[in-house]
Amino acid sequence: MANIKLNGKDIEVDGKDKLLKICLDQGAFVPHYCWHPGLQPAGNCRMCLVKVSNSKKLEVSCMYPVADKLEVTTEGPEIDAGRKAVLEFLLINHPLDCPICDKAGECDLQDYTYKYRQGVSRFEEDKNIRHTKDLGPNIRIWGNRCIVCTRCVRFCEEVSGTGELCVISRGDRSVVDVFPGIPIDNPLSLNVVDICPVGALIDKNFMYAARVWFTKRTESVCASCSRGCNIDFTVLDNDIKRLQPRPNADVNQYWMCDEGRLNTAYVGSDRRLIKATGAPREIAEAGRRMTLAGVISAYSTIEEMYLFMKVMEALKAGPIGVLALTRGQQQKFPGGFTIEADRTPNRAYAAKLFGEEALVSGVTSVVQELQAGTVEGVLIMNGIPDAALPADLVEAARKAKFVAACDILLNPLAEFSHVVIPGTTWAEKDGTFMNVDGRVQRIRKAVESPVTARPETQWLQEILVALQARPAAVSVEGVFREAMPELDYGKVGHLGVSTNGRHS
Amino acid sequence: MSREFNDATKQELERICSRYPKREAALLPALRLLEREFGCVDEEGMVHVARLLGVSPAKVFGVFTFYTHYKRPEDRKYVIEHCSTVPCALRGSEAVHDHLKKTIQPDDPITLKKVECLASCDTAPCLQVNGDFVDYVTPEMGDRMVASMRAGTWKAPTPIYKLPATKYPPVLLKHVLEPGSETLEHYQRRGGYETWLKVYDGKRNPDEIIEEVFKSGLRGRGGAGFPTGQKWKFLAKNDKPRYLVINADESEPGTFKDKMLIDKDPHALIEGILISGYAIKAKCSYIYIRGEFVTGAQILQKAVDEAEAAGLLKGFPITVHRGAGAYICGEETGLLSSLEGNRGYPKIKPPFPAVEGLFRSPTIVNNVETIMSVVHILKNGVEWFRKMGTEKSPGMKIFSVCGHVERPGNYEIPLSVPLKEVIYDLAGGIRGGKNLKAVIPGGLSAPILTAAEVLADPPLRMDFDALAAAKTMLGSGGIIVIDDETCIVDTLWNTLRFYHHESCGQCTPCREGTGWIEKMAAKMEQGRGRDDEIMKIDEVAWSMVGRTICVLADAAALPARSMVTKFKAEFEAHCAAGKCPYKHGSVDLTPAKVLIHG
Repeated sequence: MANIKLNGKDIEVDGKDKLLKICLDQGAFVPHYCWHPGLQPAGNCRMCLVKVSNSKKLEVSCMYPVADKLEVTTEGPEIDAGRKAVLEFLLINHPLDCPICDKAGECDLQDYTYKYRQGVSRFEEDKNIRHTKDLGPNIRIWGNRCIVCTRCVRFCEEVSGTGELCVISRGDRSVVDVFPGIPIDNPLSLNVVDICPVGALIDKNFMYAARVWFTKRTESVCASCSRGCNIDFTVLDNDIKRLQPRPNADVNQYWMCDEGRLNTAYVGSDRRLIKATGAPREIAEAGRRMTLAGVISAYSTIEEMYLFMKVMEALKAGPIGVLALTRGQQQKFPGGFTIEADRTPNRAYAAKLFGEEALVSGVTSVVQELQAGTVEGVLIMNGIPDAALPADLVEAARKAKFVAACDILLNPLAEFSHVVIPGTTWAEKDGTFMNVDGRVQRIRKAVESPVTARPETQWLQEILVALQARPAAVSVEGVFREAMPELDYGKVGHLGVSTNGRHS
Repeated sequence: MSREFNDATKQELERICSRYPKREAALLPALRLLEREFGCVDEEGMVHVARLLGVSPAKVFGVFTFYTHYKRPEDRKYVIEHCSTVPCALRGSEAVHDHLKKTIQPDDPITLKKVECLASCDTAPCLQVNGDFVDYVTPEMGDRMVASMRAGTWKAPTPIYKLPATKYPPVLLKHVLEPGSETLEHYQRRGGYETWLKVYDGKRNPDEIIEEVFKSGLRGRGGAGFPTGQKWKFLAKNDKPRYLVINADESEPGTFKDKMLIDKDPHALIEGILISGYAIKAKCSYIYIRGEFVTGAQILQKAVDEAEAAGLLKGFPITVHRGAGAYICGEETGLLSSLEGNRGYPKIKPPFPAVEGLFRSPTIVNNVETIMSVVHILKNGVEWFRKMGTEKSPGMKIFSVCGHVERPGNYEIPLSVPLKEVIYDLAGGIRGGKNLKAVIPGGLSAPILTAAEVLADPPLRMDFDALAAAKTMLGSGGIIVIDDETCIVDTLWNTLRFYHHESCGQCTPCREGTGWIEKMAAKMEQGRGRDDEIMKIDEVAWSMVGRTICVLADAAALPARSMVTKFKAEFEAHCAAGKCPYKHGSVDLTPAKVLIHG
């Protein structure tokens, strides 16, 4: 521990932290480019200059060690002059690309320039030219914009461990590049676009897609595996333009994988199941007449699974099977980030609520009982966008007396089901998931669903009301509080809450 | 085609790797092995080396493109690397280069490259052919050179070493002209290694040696002038291994002393390493020698092998590690980054190398001349050393005098001799009877002095503090003398071309600033500048200072500021005339009239 003075205020700090982190944690404004909380510091951009009592010149706070009784100032004319000078140098060769650059509106170079500099440059010479090229299948670099902060290079060295990026040449010819013929193509590659402070690295999937100041951001978590990386949606005109990771030290640090990031096409796909047949109430009626089995998927939210269970209980229905999806092995990266083999967001809660058996052999039991005729009807709620329903389940359902199907995308059941209810994707509703570590995290509605039917939590409650299993429908949060009595949405907050103390 | 080393080379690479705690440190040597076995470094070779060392191909690519000295696939049989920096330019290198460029035909087996200072400024204009020095090059020599290359009969000339005699008896340079001076036999015949053996066999207390060096007041001879004993005392006291690194990357334009010391008295360096390594309790020593010193590295390795075979190293490993063409690797932490197998990026200080340096261990980096001085301090005593020079700048120093003097060369004299004595009494005054215009007293990084400042009374003395008081620096002691037929604007442009080329590019003010001020200087020299832009060079240079990771920015900025302010009239004349009044039209090869031009 050390006692220092920051902008005149006495504070006690961890002696191991460098000054910049301390300043930022304390809410002091210190502009910076090359430093990133998830990477080793580099100290090369020179933007984070501050005044320290034990040095005659300004020092870069990102690598400056704390010493007891150190006095630090982050504002003042000398510091302003330093920041202005660094910005001037960054701008002399930087092309005036703002009108055509995707980073505009969320660019640190724009923002700091606005704050510190005037609109006129005194640079009258020819600007340098550096390459513009594809660095990989998803990433393009505009070399003229690159400020050689090396965040992207460090990411590939430290976090993904793949080392595809390097800085080539020397001096003002330096620019980020790949080895000829070895593109950047690792499962975490697009994180380098997030961390590029300027518009040098561009996500080809988001290129020219939207001006960010027109877009809406919504916090959520990714639904493509059971890690539940915290994310932000970027939405324009009800279209998901991109996903970006949100920092969460206990889940995904600062990152997300490319597959999850790019897995949004199905939301606006023309393969969405839109046409409804019959009404949810018919499920209640059928359930009174015959034994119904139930199949739900690990893509459903905690609230949906809870209500589904309640419906099954009210109808004394069963067995219950849970659809899941596993692909490959868990991938652990050198920086600690993990992609799970389980490709659904809520398997952990399904296991907790329905039991591991329902996941392992539940669907098989349903199929067998349908084939045997001991169960005459089935309610199948699938949401997993990438998995086809098991063929034997579809065939067994075909022979059943009553089938109700809810899904996101068109599936074979829709052709013969008595009740077809269009489902909502995770982007279109509020709710919660439990990730592989037992962490409960919020999802929030980011886009309006293309389907006009009500969300699952509404029509499931409608069935319960019809069965007189509850007096009236409550809100999604109300359902959550029933399902997890020790929690509420406030406690879950923006970073989720652990139910068992585990984290990645 | 894919590249693969033969078994012998693979084994050699393993032996090299074993000399470093991390395999990646063998990256620069591994690229040299590619050069040797396949004639060049190409993509397939880089992939092969990447696999052998366990790093990514991109990492190798980034390192390879940082350095200029590796042979590339497009290089032809004869690579002529021709120095273009200020000291050679002052002696007519540009005319030679232009002539060579005209003479060499597209189908000749020759690649002509313009390179920066080769540390042979006293034999200017100089160049290298496939790593061999060629001195005092004239256009006629260039013709003969090209003809012999076309015929395939080119042979490198015997290197020329001159040592102008003065009234000051040399110490480090005492034996450099004696035949065989680089051999162990010669060295031992003149008492070589006796001082080391006295230390080693006498089990002298290492801390006592450090104290003796500290008391001597010896200051670093490479450029920074930091008190050596003080640096040794800063070593962190922990369990980590300690390293002694010798900076033999002599690249400061105007400096050519270490080249002579290494080529002609390598054992004296080795003895200095052994004593210093013993004093600081180092685990081993690395000599980082600039890539262009091809012969020097061979001489040094031979001397190390000789000494080892004779049992003189006493188990202390000394590794010769070649650089690959980058001035910034003469900066101590740039050197360490390069030694670790990376781009030559200087490290953020603090922590300083004595606390956390090579492979994050306590490290001492010292210049060749500094380490060699240690031997004589121990041999002759602190008193003897302190009799020379001043209290704060004791001892002897080798000054490399070049440019427009009658007798360019290395002059080993006591510190604090007046600069005008060095120029006029020792080096014979301005050649051809011309007049002095300016002097750069401490290597190209030192702010320029006007003739008036040099000729003043009381005289300006060559010691650390006197020059600092004159707002310049002793630096490496490379004294570049400039006559009054030389254009300072052009000198500035050449200077800034150097720093622009050599900036590592890591941090913003230097990366962008060196380019900006060079472009402005170019504009001035070409007559396209405006009066109101003259002080812009000064302002932009000033805003580079004090905000960077290392002082290359200062080394570019402070000379720029000094030239623009002290010779402002010349800049104004260029703007008014719309061209350089010293005019380079057609090349005039008369030495007295050859001017620096771009």
